[in-house]
Amino acid sequence: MTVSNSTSEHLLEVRNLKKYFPIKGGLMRRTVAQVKALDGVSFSIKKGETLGLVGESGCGKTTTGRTVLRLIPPSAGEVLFEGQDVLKASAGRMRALRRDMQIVFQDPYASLNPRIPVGHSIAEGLKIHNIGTPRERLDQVAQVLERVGLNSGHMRRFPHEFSGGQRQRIGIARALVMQPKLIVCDEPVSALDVSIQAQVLNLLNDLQKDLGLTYLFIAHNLSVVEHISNRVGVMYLGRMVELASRDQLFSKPMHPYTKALMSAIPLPDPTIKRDRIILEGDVPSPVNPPSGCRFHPRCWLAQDICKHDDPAFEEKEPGHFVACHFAQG
Amino acid sequence: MAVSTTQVEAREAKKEEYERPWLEILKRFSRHRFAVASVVVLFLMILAVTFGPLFMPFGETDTAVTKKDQPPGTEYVVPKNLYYNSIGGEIRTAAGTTLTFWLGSDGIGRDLLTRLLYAGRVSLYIAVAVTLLSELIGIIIGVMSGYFGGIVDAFAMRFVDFLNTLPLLPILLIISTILEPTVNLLILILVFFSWTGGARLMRGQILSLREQEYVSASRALGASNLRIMFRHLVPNALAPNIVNASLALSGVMITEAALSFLGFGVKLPAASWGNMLKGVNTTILEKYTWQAFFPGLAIFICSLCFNFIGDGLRDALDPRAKR
Amino acid sequence: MAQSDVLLKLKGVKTYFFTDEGTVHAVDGLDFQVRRGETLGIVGESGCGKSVTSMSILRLLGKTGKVIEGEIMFDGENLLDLSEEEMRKIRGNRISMIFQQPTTCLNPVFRIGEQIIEALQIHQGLSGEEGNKRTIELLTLVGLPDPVRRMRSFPHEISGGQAQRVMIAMALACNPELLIADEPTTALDVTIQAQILDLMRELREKVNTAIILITHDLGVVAEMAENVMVMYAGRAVEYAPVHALFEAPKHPYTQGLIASTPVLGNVRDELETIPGQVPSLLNPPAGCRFASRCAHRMDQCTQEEPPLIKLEGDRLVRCWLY
Repeated sequence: MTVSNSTSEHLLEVRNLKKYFPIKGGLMRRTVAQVKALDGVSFSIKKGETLGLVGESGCGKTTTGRTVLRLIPPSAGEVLFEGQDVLKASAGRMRALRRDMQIVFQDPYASLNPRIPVGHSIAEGLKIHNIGTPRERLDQVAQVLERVGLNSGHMRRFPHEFSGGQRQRIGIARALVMQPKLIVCDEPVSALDVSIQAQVLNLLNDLQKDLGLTYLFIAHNLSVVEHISNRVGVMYLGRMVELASRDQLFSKPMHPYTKALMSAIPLPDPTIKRDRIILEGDVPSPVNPPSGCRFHPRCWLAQDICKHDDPAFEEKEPGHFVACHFAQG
Repeated sequence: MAVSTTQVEAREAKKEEYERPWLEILKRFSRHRFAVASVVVLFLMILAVTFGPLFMPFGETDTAVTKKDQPPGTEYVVPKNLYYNSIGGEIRTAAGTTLTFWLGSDGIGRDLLTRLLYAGRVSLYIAVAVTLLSELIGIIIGVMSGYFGGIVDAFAMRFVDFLNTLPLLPILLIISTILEPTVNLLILILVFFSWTGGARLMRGQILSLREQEYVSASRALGASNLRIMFRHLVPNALAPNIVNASLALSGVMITEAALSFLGFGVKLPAASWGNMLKGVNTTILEKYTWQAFFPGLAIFICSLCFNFIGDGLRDALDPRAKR
Repeated sequence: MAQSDVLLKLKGVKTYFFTDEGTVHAVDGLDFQVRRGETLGIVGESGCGKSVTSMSILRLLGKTGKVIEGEIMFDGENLLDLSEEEMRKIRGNRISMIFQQPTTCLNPVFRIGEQIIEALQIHQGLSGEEGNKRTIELLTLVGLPDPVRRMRSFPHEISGGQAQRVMIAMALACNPELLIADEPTTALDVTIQAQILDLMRELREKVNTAIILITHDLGVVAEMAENVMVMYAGRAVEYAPVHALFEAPKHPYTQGLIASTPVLGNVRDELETIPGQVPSLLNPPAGCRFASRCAHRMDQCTQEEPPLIKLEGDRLVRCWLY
């Protein structure tokens, strides 16, 4: 299950990452079951590229982002950032690593402390890491605000004085001011209106071009992921089911789930009539995932083998990984 | 683009606020007229109880045995040898001087105004000290409990439950037989029993706030637990505790009165607002209303002031509050 | 003709909200109509007034909101003139609604079956055996697996997609003439959204209900609607049959909206954007409300509100360019 071979060109490598959330119950609050939010996910991201992670709710994409940054502790696995294991890093080492790895959140309303002027929120990281004098920090905040399309006067205002799109720019500024190498974008545009969403996507693209940033871009919207990513991973029930370059994935999806996902998206063009694959049923509970291939209860290609054998995540074509017994182009 | 001087000034003013957030909070507080008035009233009260007794012709326990239950405004000519200090202190005023009971006298002939002022010292001290200390402890324990969860939370909350089941009065009785009751000991004991409400409130707030993304954002920047708790969580969770504290203040004054009955805290003949009220019965209410009215008024004005200040503080700490 | 072809007709409707900050001009002069059996899509971004429109039709605006002008003619009757009692008879019966968050619309302490039977009882007096039978029929109609067992489930025992099916069943319980669907699939995952849209298409043919579909998703509109109204800042800016709209959007806002949506299989380097933001509805600007963000702005635009101009092919546009 090796996804990457050489470490040097990869900024981030994730190996067999698992995260089980315990469900406690009973009098003694014992663990009665586990939610297998992430069940063995591996991928890597090259410097300067954008890896999109896409999937429906409960697939583990958000957990992946948070675990990679060690915002929640993993159950097992390795996360290598520039060759160093993030998950085993000491407190001091972790502090340093946090400068290089930043995150932009989904909800622009919840991700800013409402009682603090946004300038202070943006400068917080600098302050925590003792970077610069207060004067210099002020200048840096002013610069980064201008970089994301706001102006330096905005730093004195409070979050409630901004619109959703502006707040998301502030969230990006907060990540950017640390001069990170990697930014995890966790559904950064899904709370925004279409016209504002486009502004933010373009901003993220420009920043990447100018600053050589690397993104892990998590979203449920396939069209957005297609727009911004170089490579795309599709997740289902805590597993990666397909991973390929954007063009490979969207022109030649191999996993039946990916195909269904793509065909489910309504296109803003009434003239297109497609053969729609409509999946039956709901996503099963990650507490009790189905045996064998996790997608088999909803899959129209499923055979007996799918019920018993968990398909390996294999490279079916160069750079195109799929976990399916019947993967076909 | 030309920038007018007023714009520059406005910008400078904004900058000032940005660099010194206290100014902004003060400004928002000053917009709350009742709160500001309350601060003034409270300040005057503190001045009065601190320095007022120095100017009073009566001592705290000076007793005019011929002038029991006199209504406000009664005049009193100090007689020879009949005006004495109940605990044997010096007599301050020469015989023959005419004095006035501005607020009347009590059942054994002590000046009510004088006692009200002396009482204010101890009552305000106890109320403020108990409230601030118990909120402080409550907030710290509540925020840790809510933030860390798990064993810390289970332990802290079971302890809170345990404290709440303890009957206050019998325990105080036992303590008073072991220890010499003083005002400071009283404060410590009251704090010990009253921080639980604040802790519960704070914990509840933290439980919902800790899931907010700005907490994760701060953690992603490398912020320590202490920073997250006290810079991000507490300010956002403070409002219910402020309201709670302003309501608790007047309660403390009453509790203190109940306790003085048990020989705890402010013991007669020393005065507190609580114990001045405590002696009130129906006869007094009907015939000597002023004896109940003035201490009651003092407590009422204080708790009103604290409530307004609490309101003002809550709004001042919230930048989203309407201007 | 005994029954007119037009089921619902709004004329000059203005809905304002009176708040502490001032008067919010949420819907500011809206005219449109829905024919029997037609599906009208209303698209727009948050705050454009699309949900307020539906709440105005059902008169569920709460305390602060009020329709201050205009008329809402439903089957020849002005809904604004009806008493609250008469209005209750229409809600859930002749006009019903489904919402964005299906799970929050179901009462968590009652079984699903009970909640549907309640609707049947209120409006059709069906109870007991009859009610049961009809409920099973409805749940079968909306494709809920194992309806007999599901009737006894509590809302927390079913998924979001199933809850939306139940909501649709409830909405259809009394064979309404008009169904208002406010973002019915926004809270659902794509594969579940596809199921629900499929179901709605199927039902539309079976029960011939007129549908007002409110959404921000151009894709959903393109798939579902026959006619589309685009709203911006409390006003309709464009009205057109769906094919015509996507083929040649006329209003600069519609053009911007379509161009700024990323489309699957059509990767562009840069997405088109609409600069700026939606104006505040507390003090809407004079003239065209889109003027401040419009690339084709002329002097006239900031001074005078353009009327809805009729173009060929049954379409209307509110813009001085035409």
